[in-house]
Amino acid sequence: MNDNLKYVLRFLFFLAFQLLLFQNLNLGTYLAPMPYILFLLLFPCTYPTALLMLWAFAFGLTLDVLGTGILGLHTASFVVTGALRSTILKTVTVKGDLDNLMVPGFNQLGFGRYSFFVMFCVIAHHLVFFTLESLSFFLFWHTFARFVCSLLLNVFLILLFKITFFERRR
Amino acid sequence: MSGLPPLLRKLLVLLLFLALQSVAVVLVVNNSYFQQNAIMRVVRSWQTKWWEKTSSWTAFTNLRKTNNDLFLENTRLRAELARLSELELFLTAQDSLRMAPTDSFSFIPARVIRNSVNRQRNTLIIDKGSADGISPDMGVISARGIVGVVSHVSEHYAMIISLLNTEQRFTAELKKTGTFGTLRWNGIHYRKVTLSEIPLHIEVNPGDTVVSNDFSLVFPRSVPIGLVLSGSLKQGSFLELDVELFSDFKTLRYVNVVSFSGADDLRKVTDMDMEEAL
Repeated sequence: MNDNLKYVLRFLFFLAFQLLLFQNLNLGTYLAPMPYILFLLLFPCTYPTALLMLWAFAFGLTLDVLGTGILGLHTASFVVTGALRSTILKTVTVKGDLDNLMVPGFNQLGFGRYSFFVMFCVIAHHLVFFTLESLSFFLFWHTFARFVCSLLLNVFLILLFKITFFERRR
Repeated sequence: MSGLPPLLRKLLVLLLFLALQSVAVVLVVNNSYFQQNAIMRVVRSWQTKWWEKTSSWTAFTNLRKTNNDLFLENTRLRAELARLSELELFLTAQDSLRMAPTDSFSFIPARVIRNSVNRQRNTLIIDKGSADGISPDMGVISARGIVGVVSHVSEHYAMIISLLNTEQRFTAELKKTGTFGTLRWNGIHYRKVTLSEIPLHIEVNPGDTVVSNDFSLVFPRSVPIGLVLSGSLKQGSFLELDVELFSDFKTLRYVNVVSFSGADDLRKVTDMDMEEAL
């Protein structure tokens, strides 16, 4: 299948999942399910950062316009994730290993390294997301608790999604 | 882009990042101050069309609860009607000086098409707008208490700043003593708000009712809001009370927008007062 067509289909898939299911899932103040972050993590390892950020911007903006909440919140945090992805990928892989990799995944990186990769990406996203949403350190511990709880939930959801839908069996 | 030297390429990526990020941050800042501007109005009108579609899919799940609430409210209104008509009979019977109320509250029913409770600044969208007589700064109440204040209005939709919004403050009073204070949400639980600035000498017991007052010309008087929870906190020379709301914002479906016909007149008077004081 044409790569760009594949990306567009994934785009629609994650958007639909987020808008129709996860956004309406009311798990309380502390848990904000946002597994759409996986969309960016599925791109090939050598995919240019500039294009990655453009995908992130388009996705975040569509999500903000069609969804509820503060406009631009998802956009800002997702663009940061896109910008930091290649750096994080370089951090979790052994030097020189990156050239042989196609797409980051369990088979290529191993479970531990891949989980770390996902975790760092979600941390980048959530840091921007929750800081911008509260826009102050007025309720610092409250915001921090939301950050940690959502982080755990989303890393779990992303790993689950990855195993279920996007992992090629050997 | 691959033909460029790596330093220039990195610089371009950085510039692109800054451009995209600044667009996003400008959006966040504009939107969080609820400034009404042309772009937002266009976006909101697309949003509301889409939301109205999705809300009609989800409305079914809450029908039973909503029906029950409507039934309760009907009962209450009927009782109120009976009481008032009796009063009217009594008044007209000894009619000598007719004191017709010149300004009064009227209610515009509306349906909530978008709602949230799990953010720090929650807002609602209702399906009535300026065409139905709604304008900014009107109060919004439901069958079980106050809901919020209209922030901006398009022709057929209006956006409401919810009571569950950490930036918004309301006045409310204790029903028993009539002492008024400031009501605000602490951003944590969707059924708990705080009533502050109650003087220390006021005796408050857990279970006391908190009602709205009409000082701000937004809500009618004594709409029930909630009950005082145990454990009041002393903040300087004032009490800070935890209040449990009667209304469950998660199941909010139908609301009434409060339109006060004398509001403009009264505001003119209060403005004049302010000028004189200066």
